Amino acid sequence: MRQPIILSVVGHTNTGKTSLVRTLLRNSGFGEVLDSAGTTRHVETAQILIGRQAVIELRDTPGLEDSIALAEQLQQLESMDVSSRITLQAFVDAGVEHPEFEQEIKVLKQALHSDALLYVIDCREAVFAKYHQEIHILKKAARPILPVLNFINSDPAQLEQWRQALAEHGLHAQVSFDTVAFDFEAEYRLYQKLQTLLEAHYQTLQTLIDHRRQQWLELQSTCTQRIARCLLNCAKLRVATRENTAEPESIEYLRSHARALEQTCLTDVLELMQFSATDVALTQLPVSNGQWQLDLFSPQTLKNLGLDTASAAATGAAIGAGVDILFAGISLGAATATGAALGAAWHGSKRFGKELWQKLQGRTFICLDDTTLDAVLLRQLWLLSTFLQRGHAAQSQAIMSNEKKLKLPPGWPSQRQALRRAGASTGQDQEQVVTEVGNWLQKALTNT
Amino acid sequence: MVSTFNNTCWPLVTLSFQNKIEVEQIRALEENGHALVARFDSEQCPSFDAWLVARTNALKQQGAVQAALQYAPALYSRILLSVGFLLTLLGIVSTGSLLSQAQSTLNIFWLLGALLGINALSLFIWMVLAANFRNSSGGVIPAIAHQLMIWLIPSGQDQSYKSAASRVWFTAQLHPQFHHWYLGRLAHLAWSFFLLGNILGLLLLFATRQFDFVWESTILSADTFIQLSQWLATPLQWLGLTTPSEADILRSGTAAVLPYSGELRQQWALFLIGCLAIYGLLPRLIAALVCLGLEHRGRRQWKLDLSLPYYRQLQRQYWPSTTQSAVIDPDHSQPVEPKQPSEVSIAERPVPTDAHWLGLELHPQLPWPGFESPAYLGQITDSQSLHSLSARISELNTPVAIAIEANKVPDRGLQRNLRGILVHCRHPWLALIDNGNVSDSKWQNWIETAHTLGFADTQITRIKVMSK
Repeated sequence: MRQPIILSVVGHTNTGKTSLVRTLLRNSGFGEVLDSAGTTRHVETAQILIGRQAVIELRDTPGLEDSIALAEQLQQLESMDVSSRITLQAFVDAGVEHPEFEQEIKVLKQALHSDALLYVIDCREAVFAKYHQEIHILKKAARPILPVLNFINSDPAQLEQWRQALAEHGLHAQVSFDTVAFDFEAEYRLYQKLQTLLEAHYQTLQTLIDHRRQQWLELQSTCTQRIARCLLNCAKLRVATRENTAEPESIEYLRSHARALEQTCLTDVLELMQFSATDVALTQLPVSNGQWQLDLFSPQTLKNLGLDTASAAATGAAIGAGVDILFAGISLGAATATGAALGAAWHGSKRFGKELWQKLQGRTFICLDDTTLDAVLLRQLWLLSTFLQRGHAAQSQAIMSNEKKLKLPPGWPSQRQALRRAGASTGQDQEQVVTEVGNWLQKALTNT
Repeated sequence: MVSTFNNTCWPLVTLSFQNKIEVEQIRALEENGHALVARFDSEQCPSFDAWLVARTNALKQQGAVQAALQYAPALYSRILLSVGFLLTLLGIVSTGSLLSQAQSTLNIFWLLGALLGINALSLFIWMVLAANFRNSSGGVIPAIAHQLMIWLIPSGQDQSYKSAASRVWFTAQLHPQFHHWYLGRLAHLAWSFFLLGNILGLLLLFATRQFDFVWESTILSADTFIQLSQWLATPLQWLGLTTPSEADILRSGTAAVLPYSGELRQQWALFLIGCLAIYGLLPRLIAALVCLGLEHRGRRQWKLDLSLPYYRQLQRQYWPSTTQSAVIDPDHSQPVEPKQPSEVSIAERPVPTDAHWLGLELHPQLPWPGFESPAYLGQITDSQSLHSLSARISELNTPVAIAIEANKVPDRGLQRNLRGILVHCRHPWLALIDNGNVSDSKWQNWIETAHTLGFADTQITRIKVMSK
């Protein structure tokens, strides 16, 4: 089995090293992330696998806290006859003599034994002398260094200064990678840049890039299919009630089932994206402990989603278009004309027999109205788009803004109609519609 | 049922339909509360798919699982064989019935029409409909077929294993991606059996009875029949069969030319049977093969929905995309209990008016008025500035306020610089610059650091500035 590429994640304290590892691993449980110096005091490692093969080993190191003093120490050891790498190794070997640099020695030890270094930079910081010293020291390990520019959205001018400073150190290959606002393309570029730095591992990294891209696309597809199934199940919900006035218990039945369906979908999507209920609670989404905080049927929810609150109750709409639904689910298929007629009668009686029976008893069926389905769609789409852009290290709050009204994606009415029709149709038709609506959702997500 | 396996894992490129169904059947069993495996390890598996198949194969070694998985296909095979046999029998009987009333003279083209007419019509309808299958999302026939299959599923508490596995098997046969071709194949095979019965029936009758063959028409000419007969006989001639010649066909035009020769009877009998095989049975078999090919293509394209929570759980448990994290260079220092961030309040105390100001790693763009103050000495960013400013401070008798951004973490480098200044400073103040984005934990860190460095609370102040 081939040895994995060893990447040590290094940098000044509190720049987001552990966050980078969390995001690359898609694991919010890796290490500890706190808003204070020296949170990571040991070297922790985890491997990225393709199948059973470890491709990359990421080593999270403690932060470099006092590079100026460290540089002075190293300067004393340096001599003209010995390479910088040997000097660094000697300093690491004599670690017990420098207890004040215990953390830095851990970093240097990893730097010496890695294939490459990911040097994480907090771009909100000015380019102080200590950072120049850090780069200077790390270069002594004679390993390729890829600067990872974190927190890139705060100050473009500052970012440019960092780029310039890194270029002056000969570090022209750089990558912008915000560990909180995740962008798959940034991760893609990170591995691409590593390809240029690690020629011997080019093909391994290409395999990893391809694998990651496939996983990313599959994840999106899986999530949209899951949401499509939730929408279908909501569209299928129906309950018998009095013909003229919906009974409260019937309405409650609809509501509770719709809530349960939406809740299960939320849990599944979070699970698929490897976020836990705790992650969501941290963000103060309208979700707490894995539960939507605002009720699906609350007028505030509809208002937040920019939906028409005139339909207010969002309780249910009577199934009125019986004929339409009856024939919508029927296609001739392989049937002969006679078969189709017989089949239609059979199919119709199976689907609408209960409704006709209720009708004879002076009762009718109600289902979720369009506004409720719209609300379910928008909430799930928003959740998905938010989490697709969320790194596994993100701890800040993502708040659903009331000002920014969400818009129903174009083409939704016809998809909604297809879902309603499929709800009245066979299992096979339903599977087909779930696939189609899932594909449509993926396109809508891309446009969002 | 709990077992531990370490099974061989074959390197599978793609899963066969059989593999996929069996994996799905195992899912159905486990989701229906049948705990089959507590642990399954196979380090040799090249992919998760292959691992699933290996696991399924291992589980099949359990008798009850094997029986449950094989119940539906075995039942289905028995039903298919029985139906095939019945249809063949029906074909024989219908041929016998068709010819039972006939005298010893048979009208060739009437008999061909009777035997092939309905078959040809239904084949034509199927072909027309097949052209639209791509746009058809479902249909009544698949729905009825599905319902029929569901009726075959055994019910009852003691049958729960078989029931769960059989439901999956039957549903998979009628997956929307290929159910049209699957049902089409069944229909063509059914017709094939029936036509085979017809052929067998004819053979039986021709073997035991003697018929003379004629063609008759009121409005069609003899040339038409000759051409039609020769055109129909062409494929038979390619197969080396002797068919009636033009003269023979002309001779068979009316009953008046009788008596027949034995050779001509044989030629017409072979012509009839051959036409039934070539124009009835063969197209049906070809159509069945086409359906089979398209069905297989659909089956290959059908993928397991690995996004289902069941598979995700298995994948996470046995096939993770990352390894568990491990500490390879531990911290040997005394572990510090993480403190719960509490709300810290630092007063905005007025700094003495005669104080000098010193910056410590302040961002050049920080909107802090102190930069412009005549009492501002400069800022420490490296060893050189630390030495030069320390020398200057040591000459001062006035208080020195050290300004530092509170949203920085007080790392060892900053603390060393602070200590370096404090050695030379007689009346130090710590001015923490608050841009409004400082977390409670950072305030707490700074208070603790300040106390460690010897600052009294009265020497610490907060300066509010606008965010950068």
